[in-house]
Amino acid sequence: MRSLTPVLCICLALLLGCHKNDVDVAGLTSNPFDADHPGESTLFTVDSIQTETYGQGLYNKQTVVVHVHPEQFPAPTAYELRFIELTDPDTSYFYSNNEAGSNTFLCGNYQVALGTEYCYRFELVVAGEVVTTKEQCTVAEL
Amino acid sequence: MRGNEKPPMTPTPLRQSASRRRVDADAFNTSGSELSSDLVGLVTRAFPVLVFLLIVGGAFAQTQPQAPNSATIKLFVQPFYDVEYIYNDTVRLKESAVHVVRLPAGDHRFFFWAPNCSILDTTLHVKFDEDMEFHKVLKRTPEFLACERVRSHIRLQRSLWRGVPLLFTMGFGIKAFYDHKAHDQAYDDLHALQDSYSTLHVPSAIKALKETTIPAAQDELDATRRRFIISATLCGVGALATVYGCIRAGKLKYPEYEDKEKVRFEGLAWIPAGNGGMYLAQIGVPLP
Repeated sequence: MRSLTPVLCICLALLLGCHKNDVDVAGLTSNPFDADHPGESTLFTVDSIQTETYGQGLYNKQTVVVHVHPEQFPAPTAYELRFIELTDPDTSYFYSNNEAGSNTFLCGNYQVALGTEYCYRFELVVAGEVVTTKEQCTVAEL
Repeated sequence: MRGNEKPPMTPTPLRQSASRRRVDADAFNTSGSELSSDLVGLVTRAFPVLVFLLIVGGAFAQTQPQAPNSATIKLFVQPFYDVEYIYNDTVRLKESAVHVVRLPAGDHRFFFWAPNCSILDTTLHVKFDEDMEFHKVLKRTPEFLACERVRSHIRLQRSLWRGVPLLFTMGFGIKAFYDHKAHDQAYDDLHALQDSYSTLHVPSAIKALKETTIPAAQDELDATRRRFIISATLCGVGALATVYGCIRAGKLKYPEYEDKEKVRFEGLAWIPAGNGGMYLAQIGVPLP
């Protein structure tokens, strides 16, 4: 029996050597670009939607201010923000224009009718893919 | 026996008597007439010795004469190692290679024997002044051959009892080593994928990672773990089998061979080898 003890110890050590933890795939939700990321995305925020007049007071427009938070990105990367006006039957895309080096986007919806509710969808796009979306509606009022 | 000692070409007693005679002759040559009285005293003192030498020399002269009516026999008896022989029931010699004896004409009986071989009892007819060679290969005794067969069978059994489980253990030990290495590699790959999740910034890549790549790596890790456990278990079983095999092989004993021909050869004549030994008396009691 004494001669078997080292053999059994070696076998036990070998078996203990294979104790490797698995990866819990369901628990992988920490990446904010992941569709399974819990909670509301804070990659960008809609700061304000304001209605203004232009053309010497003849027309009205809505200006939407969106702020992107790239510090929450998993890695520095190029991105773009899509601004979609949903009320108009002819849904159109408005690509954002922002100042160089700034993460604040100003989106304009021209010729809005006062008293009408306008809905917008915002999409954060990375590498041609939509990472996260938000929708927001507001009534055009001066 | 005295296998490592080189025997003389002729029996020792004859040589001793000749040298003694030479010594005595020299002693007589150095004496002078003026010493006649001393010579008489010397002869008186040496008389018993001379008588003894004459008797012994005469006795050996009958068996090993240097007479001209003799011939030389070269003995080539195999196996060359440890061959012993007795001739004329008086002289026993041990030779490891070709041996040359000079014998008087006539019949001489020889017994050749080597360990594990049958005794060869033969009579050589020596012709006057005609040298001859005697070639013979001693046969192994049937008992020795049977014992050797049993020994080789047991040797094979012992080798199998020890070798097969050992090879089994070594084989699965090596496999377990490489399986463990592969398991470690699979584990590292899986965790590298897990680490890459937090830095991925393409949603489709994240989706593919979670739905395809990581599950595949997980399956690979499980498979390597399964293979490692199997090979490690078999290695352990092999180790236990090796221990059992060694114990079992240790219990297999080789049969002991009793060289009956040696006993018979020793009984033929207890004669010391030519290079020394001692004389022993033997009493034979004939049984009815």
